[in-house]
Amino acid sequence: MINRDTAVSLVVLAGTVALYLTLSMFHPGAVIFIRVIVIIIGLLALLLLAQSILLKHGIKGSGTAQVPAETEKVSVSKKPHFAWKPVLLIFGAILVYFFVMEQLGFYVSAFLYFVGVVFLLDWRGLTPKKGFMRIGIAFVFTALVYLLFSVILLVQTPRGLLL
Amino acid sequence: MGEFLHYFPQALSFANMVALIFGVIGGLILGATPGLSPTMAVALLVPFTFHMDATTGLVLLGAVYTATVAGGAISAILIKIPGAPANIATLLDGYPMAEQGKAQTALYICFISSLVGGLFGMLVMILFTPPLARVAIQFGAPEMFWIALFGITIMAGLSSGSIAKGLIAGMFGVLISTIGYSPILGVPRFVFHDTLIGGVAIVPALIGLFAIPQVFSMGEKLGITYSRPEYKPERGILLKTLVANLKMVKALGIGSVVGTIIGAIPGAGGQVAGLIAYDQTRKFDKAPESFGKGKPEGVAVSESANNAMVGPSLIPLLTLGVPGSPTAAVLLGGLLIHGLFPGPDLFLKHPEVTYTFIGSLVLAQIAMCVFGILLSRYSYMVMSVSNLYMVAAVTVLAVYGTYSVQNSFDDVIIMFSLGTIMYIGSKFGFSSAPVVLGVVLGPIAEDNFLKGKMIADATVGIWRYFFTGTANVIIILLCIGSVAYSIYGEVKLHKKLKKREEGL
Repeated sequence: MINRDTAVSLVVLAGTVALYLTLSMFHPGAVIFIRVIVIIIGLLALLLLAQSILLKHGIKGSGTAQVPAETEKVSVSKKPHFAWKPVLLIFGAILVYFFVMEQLGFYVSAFLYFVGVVFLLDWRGLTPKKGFMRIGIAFVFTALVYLLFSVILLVQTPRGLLL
Repeated sequence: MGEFLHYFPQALSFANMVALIFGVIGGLILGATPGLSPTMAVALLVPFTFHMDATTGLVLLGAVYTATVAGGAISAILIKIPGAPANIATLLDGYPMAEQGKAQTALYICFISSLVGGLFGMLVMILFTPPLARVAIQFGAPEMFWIALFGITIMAGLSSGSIAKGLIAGMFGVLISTIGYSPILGVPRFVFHDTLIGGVAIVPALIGLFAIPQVFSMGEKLGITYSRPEYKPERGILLKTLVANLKMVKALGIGSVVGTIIGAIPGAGGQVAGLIAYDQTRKFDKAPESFGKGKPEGVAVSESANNAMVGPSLIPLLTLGVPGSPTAAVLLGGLLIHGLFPGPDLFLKHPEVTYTFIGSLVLAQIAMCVFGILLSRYSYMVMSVSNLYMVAAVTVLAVYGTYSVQNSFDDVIIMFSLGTIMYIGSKFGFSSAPVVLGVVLGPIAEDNFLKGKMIADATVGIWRYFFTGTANVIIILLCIGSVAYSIYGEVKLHKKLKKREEGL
């Protein structure tokens, strides 16, 4: 089975070739710089391909925030896991939010999105008290955003049928 | 120094002071919140500064930047989760102190040491920035082109484990910046939909690339709950801690000097400053074995180092337009949306903005210490905010911030699309910072490349124009050195892993 970096480099390489061919559609003078960048990306994809074949170990981020694994064990009660379901739920909720925003206006849709997300992502063991608290937090947050930006800073927001 | 003192009173104006206090308190809270990176916090604030006067907006961003670095120590000390990469060294002794019931002392040491280191770093910045800007003013199109590329190579090495992936990400950012009309011919490029006619503006790119992937990744970690921090407030320990802290001359000195030097090197990063300073202090201590067990000097050296790098990390940004860290890249976006182009021109054309900004950073260090100490007893409350609410709140602010700059819903779509692509890219080892830098530095690189090419074609030819001359050669060598150093690091890591595997 091919290494993940090998697959990434092949995809980038294929994308680079496709992009390079697309450049012929444009005025040559307008894409001369882009042509140089595309060639550089192609060369980098080849470098990544060579690295993935020669250095078989996955190299993890050396410069980013690397918290030692034992650090998290002490204070985090549950290990982080990769969960697609909440990510897809958030993605869907944001799309609905955008659609509703143009119809209902920014503040109403923001409130509905906030409420929708906190209920959709965690509905197990929900009690009426918890539910009202979440709605209350969503209301207070939206009201604070309204007060700060529309009343104090006078910033324009997307307007719909409502606020 | 003369100009700095001349413009300093402007930093004390009412509007600037309100922005500064608001920024410091907000920065401390955002820095202490696990899951919210300082870079994302500053990125979310950038669009709101658009509606302010340029100086006040920058004062706000500078204050947030300063305070998030110190605020990240709160969660490092109380729950052993550094709020920012710069605070990794702080938890080594800070958390054991909290376990021993000395959380309040550790937090006071953290803020006082941050102030000492921060002021030292600012002094160096004030002394060295103007002379460097005078050197940079000699630069023409080829030098500026290479500097833009240098900025991308630095961030590529800093933010990704793989330099190849970092550079691909940076170049992808440059490609994004070319969407829209060509700067010289005015011909549309990659405008496959009306949304892209105006190109990709900086704010949607900044917010999309930093905030949206974080929203999705917070969604992945909804099950995480943090243990309740140990915090027992005591009366009258501030003065005692202050006296004891100021006696830690060696730790504060090493931290401030190491932090300042590393901060001035573009791309070195705050976590390196803290860890190197910590290691040096331990080596020079009479009882090195006591480090890691709750030694106050450990907190003092780490925090003085990571705050000392705040000022010097802005030197390459203000003089050359090359951000030395991801947060500095976001600050660059903040300058650009106000029409301020970092580099030598900033000091010549907008001295009132530049020097007021620098002055406000000094004040922000002081305010950070004062408010940090005042608010530290309430800091545990921040730790209990659930990711559930953060997901919703960050999305709403990201949408609002993006829309508000140009009142454009197209920008919101671009922001979300870029963020989603970046989130998928992050699953394959690509990080946001080089892409952002590519978007920000791309137009500078393209403009100077095209200008340089026209001059070169009419005069000495491309090779001589772009590849000769002292400044060109130095910057090209820096680019090569930056890439070579990252490749060397990768090969070294590979050998280490191989050796470990063979040992098993």
